[in-house]
Amino acid sequence: MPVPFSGGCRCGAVRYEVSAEPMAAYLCHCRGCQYESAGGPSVVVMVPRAAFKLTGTPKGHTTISDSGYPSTRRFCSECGTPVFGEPSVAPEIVMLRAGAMDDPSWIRPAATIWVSQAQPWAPMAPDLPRYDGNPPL
Amino acid sequence: MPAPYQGGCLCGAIRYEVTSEPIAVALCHCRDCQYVSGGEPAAVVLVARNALAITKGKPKGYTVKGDSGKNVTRQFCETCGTPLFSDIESNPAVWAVKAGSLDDPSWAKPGVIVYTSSAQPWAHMDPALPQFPKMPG
Ligand SMILES: [Zn+2]
Ligand SMILES: [Zn+2]
Ligand SMILES: [Zn+2]
Ligand SMILES: [Zn+2]
Repeated sequence: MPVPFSGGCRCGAVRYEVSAEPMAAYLCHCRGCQYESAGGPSVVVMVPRAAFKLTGTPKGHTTISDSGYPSTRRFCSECGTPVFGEPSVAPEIVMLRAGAMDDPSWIRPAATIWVSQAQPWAPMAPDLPRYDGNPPL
Repeated sequence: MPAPYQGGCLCGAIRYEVTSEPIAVALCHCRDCQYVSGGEPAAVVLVARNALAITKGKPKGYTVKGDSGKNVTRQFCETCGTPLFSDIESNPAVWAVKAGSLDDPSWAKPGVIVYTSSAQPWAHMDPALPQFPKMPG
């Protein structure tokens, strides 16, 4: 796994660098992620906030997540790219969106989560564990 | 799916209505769609251009050069970031609506997978669906 690794939005206005290995990656099918990701799952890569260095100013939109606490989705207001999420319940963690990594190919999703809200046609890898909501931590 | 059907963004600032049945539904793994969709494919519902009306709000557009060399303008909500639909210069007769923005995406069952040549190695594809390295034809 390449460390440090970098990423940013499609237009380049928002950039980041991460100086630690990801803690985990999940495929999230919650309805909020469906809005964000055109219908399929969001590919969420958890990294420690202390290892995350941001340049540029993404816009934030905060909703109450299905887990019942506020969660902020950060995106570039110029190009719309979702870049990361900030769950208020875990301020020490940043949830990167794999699509905005410069090289998402080395990510290894560990599980499919929020299957209870997935669309009936959503593609799901048969060999990954599935959870109705959040994965057990 | 019974037309008309509606959709909009996560925050409700933008709403639209479509008055005819979709032409096709595709899962697109192109790199640009990965930026929009968190890494997995975008689920794209092709509808006739004149069948879609924006009934509330005004999306923001971000234009990129598509693989065809022609422009693709991705429309999203500036407030919450939700991707809504795209203008495709090479196919001006359609809107490419993002399934995640439909009020009910459950009927938008994809019939084809496109741009598999740029899919991430961990992306799962339904083996029952026809696949194309780029666009069909
Ligand atoms: Zn941007
Ligand atoms: Zn989610
Ligand atoms: Zn919105
Ligand atoms: Zn695409």
